[in-house]
Amino acid sequence: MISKVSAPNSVPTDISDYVAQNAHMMAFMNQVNMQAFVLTNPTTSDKPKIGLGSYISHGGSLYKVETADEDIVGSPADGKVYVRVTGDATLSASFVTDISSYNYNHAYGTLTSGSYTLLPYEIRKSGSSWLKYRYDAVQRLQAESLNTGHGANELYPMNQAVRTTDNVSFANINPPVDNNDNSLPSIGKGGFTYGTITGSGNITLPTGGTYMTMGFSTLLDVSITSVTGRFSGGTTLTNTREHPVNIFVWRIA
Amino acid sequence: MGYFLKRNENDFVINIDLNQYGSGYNVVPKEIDPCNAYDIAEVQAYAQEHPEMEVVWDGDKYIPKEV
Repeated sequence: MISKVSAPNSVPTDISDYVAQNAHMMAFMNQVNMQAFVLTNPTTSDKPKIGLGSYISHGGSLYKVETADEDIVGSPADGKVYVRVTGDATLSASFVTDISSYNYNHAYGTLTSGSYTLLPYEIRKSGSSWLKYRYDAVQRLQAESLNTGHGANELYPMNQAVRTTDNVSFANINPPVDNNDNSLPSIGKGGFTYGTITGSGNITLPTGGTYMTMGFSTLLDVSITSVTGRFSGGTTLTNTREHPVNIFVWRIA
Repeated sequence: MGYFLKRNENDFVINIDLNQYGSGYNVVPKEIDPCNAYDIAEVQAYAQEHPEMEVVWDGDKYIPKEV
């Protein structure tokens, strides 16, 4: 049953009007955690506090940050960090990283665990950088597209950072791996590298997949057929000539 | 998966061309080679079910290993 919360008369006439006012105040209190950002420095990477003047709903009671910004206690490890509050007459705030024990409390409209209420924020901490986001307890956002300032775009599955400075890894596209000796490094499909083989020496291809190789004598103007061709990963190739060989190695499968 | 060479329990070469040294595709666990196209468990199961397809290199070509 979903019941209508009785509305008071615009000019209170009897006690039922004050009861109705209280019912509305309690309802608004339960929504107060979704107010504007209560963490300080919302757009910078500074360590946050809870801003002076902010309201917090906890355990069905309303609290207000007074006197100064409220410190959040704790030194969490890098990663996802959350903020919880607990207390009775006054609240204390602390950082928490494991929120697996928190469940959504429909009466309070927040995630709670025991005597703790989780504030609806997620912080991505990396060293001294604290990036702050609003945290929806539902944890899923569904929309046809997302515009973060670069037009309405569709999002596809992604499991790695893809900035120009990141070392990305893909199933079919991989970067070259620098090398200049007889010990070939691991390379992903589509990647390539370079190696050297002494006269009459061997070289072993990296583990996994299939490779295409081309070997050239460092002294003679010829390719060396014993180290040129298509080979499986882990195959040992032998330089049948007495002269050193330079070998180009591409991973093709 | 065709003819296969077993280097050890977690290192196989499958789809071997019997007449080409080093041919085939090297299958190892994805912890070692994240972009490997095959699941090592599937290859292990295939090897167990088809021992007649296991080969060894005799210095000139691959020959079926005696079962």
